[in-house]
Amino acid sequence: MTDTLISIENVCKTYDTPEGGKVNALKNISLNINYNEFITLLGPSGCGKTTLLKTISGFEELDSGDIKIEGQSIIDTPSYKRPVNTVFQNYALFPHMSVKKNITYGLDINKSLNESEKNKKFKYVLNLIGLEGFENRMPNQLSGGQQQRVALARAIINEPKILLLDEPLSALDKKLRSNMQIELKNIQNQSGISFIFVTHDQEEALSMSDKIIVMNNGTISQEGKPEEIYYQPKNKFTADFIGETNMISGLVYKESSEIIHFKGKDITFELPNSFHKYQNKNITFSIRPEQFFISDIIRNDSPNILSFEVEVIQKLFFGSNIKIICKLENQILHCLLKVLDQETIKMFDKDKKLKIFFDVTKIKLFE
Amino acid sequence: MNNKRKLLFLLSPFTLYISIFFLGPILILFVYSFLEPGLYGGVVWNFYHHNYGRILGWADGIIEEFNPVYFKIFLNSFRLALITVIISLIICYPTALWISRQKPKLKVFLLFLITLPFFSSLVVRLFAWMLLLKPSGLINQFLSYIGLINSPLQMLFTETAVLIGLVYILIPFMFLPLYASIEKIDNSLIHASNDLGGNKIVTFLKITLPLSFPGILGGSILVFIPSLGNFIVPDLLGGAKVMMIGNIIEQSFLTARNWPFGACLAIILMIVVVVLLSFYVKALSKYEKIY
Repeated sequence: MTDTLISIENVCKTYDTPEGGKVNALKNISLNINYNEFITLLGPSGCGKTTLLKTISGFEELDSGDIKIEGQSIIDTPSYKRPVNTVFQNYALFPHMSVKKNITYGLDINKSLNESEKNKKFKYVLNLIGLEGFENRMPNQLSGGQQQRVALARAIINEPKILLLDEPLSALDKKLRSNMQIELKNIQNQSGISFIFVTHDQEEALSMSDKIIVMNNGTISQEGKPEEIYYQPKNKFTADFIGETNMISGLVYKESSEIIHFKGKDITFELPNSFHKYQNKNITFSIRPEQFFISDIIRNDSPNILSFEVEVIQKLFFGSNIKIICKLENQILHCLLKVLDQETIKMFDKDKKLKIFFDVTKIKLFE
Repeated sequence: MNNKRKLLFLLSPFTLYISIFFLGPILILFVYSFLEPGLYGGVVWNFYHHNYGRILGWADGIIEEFNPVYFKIFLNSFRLALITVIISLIICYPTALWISRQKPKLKVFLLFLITLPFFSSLVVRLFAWMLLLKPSGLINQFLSYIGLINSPLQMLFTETAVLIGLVYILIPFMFLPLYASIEKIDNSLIHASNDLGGNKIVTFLKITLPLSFPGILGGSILVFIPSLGNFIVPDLLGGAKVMMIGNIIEQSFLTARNWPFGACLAIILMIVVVVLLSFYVKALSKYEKIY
């Protein structure tokens, strides 16, 4: 037996727009998801991630392709018979039912369990979400975070093979959200259910997932572990969407026989000899803000260390580090720098000239 | 001007209107219901409790002559009003459910169609029904033309005709509150129920139906109360055969010129309605807490 729990094969879906046009929401998507995995579908709004989720849960029909769970096609199974449960973006708790009734809804319908088994399961999930004592509350008597946990409990009590989460944390405030991120991850580990988590928040995706699937325009832009996605983006879209990056495009050329130059729209600088192979090609550097450093932290005697003389436009102090928005000729750069003491911060006042460095061999470049 | 005064000022036209033209007449009705009817109409200013006795079945306070004729009409009116509610609910619920799922543009158009009958006079519409239902009317002609009947059916001046009329004129009052509450149900709740294993029937019974309960309740009250006191429909479509409490009240005032007795019937009808409304408000406030 393979490890594949769900396989999505060549899935296509087209919508009609109100204007009479057509939108390809999913373009030939293929994807495998394993047991006990935390998968994140990440992408900007309208990239097709929610549509993909809905085709798995059965709320959207496919135009073509197949979805198999443990080798069995489910596309002809109505949504209420699929071994899949969803946590909805707005939670969709039943307003006329208590917390207990909401959570046991699936079990009550199923009728395969007797009352004491049902209670045992209910106690277990209630403990898992930490809402003991709230059994008889109505949904509108709960806070957003509590409602969200009830929605989660209501889904996992049915022990689905896959749990689908449609931007479930987007309505929570920042602190609550980061708590829920940890809890979700724990619950996924404890329950052993595969989670497919949809979000447009890249930080959320990076911190929680075993595997991230970056989607763009109805296609999969890249899939892989969070660190792969972050450090080895396969294309400009992924590089730009995941984390922050400074994209600098331009042409590599040789002026004299010795020196290789890079000429961008707004800047020109020299490159080390190793860039010989890119001669007369257009390339794009993608420099993460944290890949810049200032001279007094690292020495700059290697040929791979390049430096820019920049002018500070703005500084944003975050405590452990500082973000500098600066100008290199007409190119705006974002740098994230470590600061160790209060004195250093004065270097980054507005309009001050500053020398920043980066290791050109460690940054990602696209041809 | 402080807020309280502002409020008082803004509410005074409504308050004045209601107290003069609504509470005033009710007070007069209440007083009249305890007065003796004059021989040639009007009232004699004596305290007189036999009006109420007569309705319960003891006319003029003679115990032996128990004849609950008015009580029976009361009960019959209740029965007809209840049947009207049930029929209009059965007709409206699926329609409201269907319309609530249509595209916004179509929805507006369909809602317009529902309210269309309000654009013409009630009496004209009821006369149209008389023309349809009478022995030489369109329905009978059609049925005999296709050979289903040999002699015309007696449809006019029957209880069925009254029910058809009541349902016909009151159906928008059932539809609109029902539609409003069904429309309000978040589609993601239906999806959630589906997702948790509920098929269409389970989802309807456990989610849609309970959540539309305020609409069912509101529509039922709005249909029940006007049909209970209605007199035009039984008058035109029921003839003298079907009597409802509204007809008795109308006759007491206009034909029999027994104002105290009419007032007494109206007061009792009103008390019944108020009691029903209080149940409604209580049930509704329970639901209001949920949303």
